[in-house]
Amino acid sequence: MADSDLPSSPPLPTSRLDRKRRFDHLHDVSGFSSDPPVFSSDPPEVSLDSDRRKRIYSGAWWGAPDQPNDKTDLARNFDSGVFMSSDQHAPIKDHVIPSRAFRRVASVSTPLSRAQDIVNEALEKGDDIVDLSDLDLVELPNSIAKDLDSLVKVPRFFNESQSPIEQEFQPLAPKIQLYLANNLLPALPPALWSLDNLTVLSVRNNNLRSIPASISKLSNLTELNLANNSLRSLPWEILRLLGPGKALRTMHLRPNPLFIGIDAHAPPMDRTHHIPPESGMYKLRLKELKSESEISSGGQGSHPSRWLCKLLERVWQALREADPQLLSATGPQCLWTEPDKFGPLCVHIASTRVWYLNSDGTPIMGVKGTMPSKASASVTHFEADPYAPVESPRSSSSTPSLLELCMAQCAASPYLDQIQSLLPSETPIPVVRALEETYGSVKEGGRVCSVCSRHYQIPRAEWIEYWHCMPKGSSAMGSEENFWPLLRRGCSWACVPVQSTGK
Amino acid sequence: MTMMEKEPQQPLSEWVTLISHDEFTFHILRSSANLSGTIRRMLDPKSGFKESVTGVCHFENISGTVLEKVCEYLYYKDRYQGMTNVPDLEIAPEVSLELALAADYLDCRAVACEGIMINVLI
Repeated sequence: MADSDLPSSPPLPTSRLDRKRRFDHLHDVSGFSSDPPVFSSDPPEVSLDSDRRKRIYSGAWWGAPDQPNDKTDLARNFDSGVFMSSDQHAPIKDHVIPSRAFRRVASVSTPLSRAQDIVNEALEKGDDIVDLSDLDLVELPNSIAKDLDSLVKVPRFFNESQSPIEQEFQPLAPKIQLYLANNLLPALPPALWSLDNLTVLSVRNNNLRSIPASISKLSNLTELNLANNSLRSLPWEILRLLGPGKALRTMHLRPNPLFIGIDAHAPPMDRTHHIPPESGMYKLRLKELKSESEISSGGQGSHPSRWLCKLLERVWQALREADPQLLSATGPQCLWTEPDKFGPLCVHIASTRVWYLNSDGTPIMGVKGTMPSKASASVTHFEADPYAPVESPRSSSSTPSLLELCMAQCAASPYLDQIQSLLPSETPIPVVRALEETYGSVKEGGRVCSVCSRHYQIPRAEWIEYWHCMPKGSSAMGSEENFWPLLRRGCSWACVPVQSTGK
Repeated sequence: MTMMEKEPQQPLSEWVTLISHDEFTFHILRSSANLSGTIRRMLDPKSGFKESVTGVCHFENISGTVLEKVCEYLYYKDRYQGMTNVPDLEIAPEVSLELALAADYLDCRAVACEGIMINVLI
């Protein structure tokens, strides 16, 4: 073989050795995947890739046009014994339903999910009006109330062409308005009571049987609607929301099956019993009532005239303490003429006797009558005499019992709800009851003794105090519906009513 | 301190001994131990129980850690009797449930006081 037969190796293109880079070759259509033909006789290189182009498509995968599938012609007409996905009858592309790929699957909407959606929307928009009414909710989960705590208002954008007007400056702290009207709620979640920014709470038309004392933590509440529930009494702590200097202005309480303290058999109070606003008339009326109560009571402590007499005394006293000058000028009328000065004036009228309880929350032996918090629907009346002497406490010691101390520890446990189901069957009943009571206190958001302000789980004493309260929108002073039964609880047998004084 | 009436061999000791099931022994003042209804009945000379003679109470169902806390509580209760604004006794969470059961056992309700039945311990 002669050497000349062999093709010589092609010389390197000169351009490669130039100092200066040239970019001409980049425009070469053949690309530089292989070297360009060196000799003019060489046929132009037929690129294997020439008609195979990458399918370029930009966009979502499900929107891609149908691709010609070359392989579909190949039939597998023997059984390899291996199952492959292509063995299925339907072609694969039918499985992907492009336009529906990310569409929400129709879900069953429950009251709870609808409520959650509404709350999420409010959180997203920074809207502080949360309307969860008419949803048939049977339970409001703690998580929803917790979510509301993280609500932040979104600042409004100013109109750039004009200078901002005064109304456009708003505080960013939300003033949450929560409407839960027309649901079926039997209780409210504990996280609700730590919503500091709650200003309006409406639970109208629900199945609430009691309001926990923790409601007093909602210090920014301006409007509270409790109408049309199954409330028998209110927590005594609600007084902390009322009164001068407090935010709460409007409160709707009726209709509710509240306990009545005035003698049920006495004739109903008529309009003439109401308090005249003028100073002189008022004194006359008080004298009249006093003599009337002395005549009519005759051992009946809860006669309406005694209650009204007490009310007049208390209101007069409270007004004198608040602003003596105004009182002497206008008389009790100043309650109406200067409402902001006094707010919804609350005065204590009478207290029932005290029910002492064991440390498992049951009434002590040898005491008759149902206690107010466990009273059945048929019990509507708990008698109280405004002028009754105060009972002396049954015990002077406020040392907590060992069971109470243990329950205080259990209340702090995160597994409290499981403890009850894990107890052995031979667990003594008092311990089981105490645990139930402790669980109840946790669900109320904790309990604080109204007398000694100690934290407690199991109440040891309870009684009802009748207060006359007049928030905005209530009827005339002295009318029967303004006497509210407030359930008060003490943490020990020493924490019972001391001297019955006004506010 | 009370004296035995019928057989005045020796005055009752001021101290009593409580023994848990795992053999932990606690010597505590009789006056404090008597705050628990069950222990008082065990130690009452009129009851005729063995414990009233020996002054030693065995608790087969109470462990040492729990019994220690019980003794601590009895002293605490004795110390703050009839007082208000009492500080809380510290209790470890892990013993609280056992302690609650022991509290129920040690005070079998029914201590006649002022004409009504009250529980001292629980």
